[in-house]
Amino acid sequence: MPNLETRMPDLLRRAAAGLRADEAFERRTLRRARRRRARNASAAALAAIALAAGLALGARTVLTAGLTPADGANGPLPTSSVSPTPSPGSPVDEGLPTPVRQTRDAILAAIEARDFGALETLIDPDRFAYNFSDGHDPVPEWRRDPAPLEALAAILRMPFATREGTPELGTIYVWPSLVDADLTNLTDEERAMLTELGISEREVRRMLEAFGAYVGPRTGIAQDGTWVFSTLGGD
Amino acid sequence: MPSVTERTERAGTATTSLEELYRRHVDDALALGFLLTGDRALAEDLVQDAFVRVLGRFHDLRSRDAFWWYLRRTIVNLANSHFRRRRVERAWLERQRPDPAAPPGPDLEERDRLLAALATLRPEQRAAVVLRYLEDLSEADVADALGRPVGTVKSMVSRGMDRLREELGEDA
Repeated sequence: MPNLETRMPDLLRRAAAGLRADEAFERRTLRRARRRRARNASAAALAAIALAAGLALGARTVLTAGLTPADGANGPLPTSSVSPTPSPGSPVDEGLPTPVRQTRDAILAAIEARDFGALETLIDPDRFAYNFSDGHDPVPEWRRDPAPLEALAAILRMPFATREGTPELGTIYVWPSLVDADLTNLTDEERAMLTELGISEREVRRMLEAFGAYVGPRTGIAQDGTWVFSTLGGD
Repeated sequence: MPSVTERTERAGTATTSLEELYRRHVDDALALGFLLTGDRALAEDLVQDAFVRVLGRFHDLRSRDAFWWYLRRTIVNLANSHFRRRRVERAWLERQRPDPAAPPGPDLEERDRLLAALATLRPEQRAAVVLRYLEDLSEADVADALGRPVGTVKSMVSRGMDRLREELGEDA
């Protein structure tokens, strides 16, 4: 008899044979998908997020919003513990307005302390978008599974980029600066950032093929210090 | 039988509607979900959630060819999250008995033995083995789908197969 490795494809196919989605399943799935799509398209915050996500400016292809593969699909989250908040005057903070820096530092401190109450106070549900379409209050989810916070802390310690948001929001400070990266010509610093985030070269190629830009974990704070969005690839 | 990847590539980059993408991938998605969970109802829930998430953002996709990659990865991640969050592996093992709602197969005993053997693997190890052999992905592609280093995937697949051989009573 052929060895198990040789027979595995057939064994697996036979084990799953006969599975068919019925029409009711199709209707339910497509109805939910259309609803989700409509919500994505209509959310007022997306206009600002699209700009902030680094996907819609300059010569880049205009996309309506950043897409992040759902539920951790951006690759493994960093497992290291939270490292120190960048100190005032740190090169990565150059040009960062005080309200923005204060919010950034408060987020990092709350993550380090696993202080979910503090995180809740930093989020205005009326002005915050989480994973673009998955709600405006991620804290209950973070309480259940705090793993995404490690990625959030990691990107907030990296250099930032800026985007012009809506007239109401003004300039949005976006982490990490990888949103500006030319994925076809990464610098050593950008490669190091991707490595820290656990994003492989293959994943970078996928991002480039599918979106033409970095669509990994990212977050944005408006110039007045309002935390406006976060997307971690983790729902 | 062509792999899903081959079928996706064959489909090309022509404009594809949401419904077409759903119909093209739903059977493969259900098969993957079923083999990862061993439970048809749970597989349907995971697959539906995955479609909703990926189709819900599908207008952002620059390349339709990337759809299956994102969908597959989302299914795997949702399955892993499910097992991680709810710690139901033990319950899952206990549930391994003939399922009247399960699809009819040519050899139910063989299927049940395989599902029971797969159930002894850790969720991520199970995903590595299923992706490697169901989809005929290279170890590098499995690593890409799981977001893990290739070396880790090689080890997961190798140990997973050793375990399956043991569970199925086969010689190396």
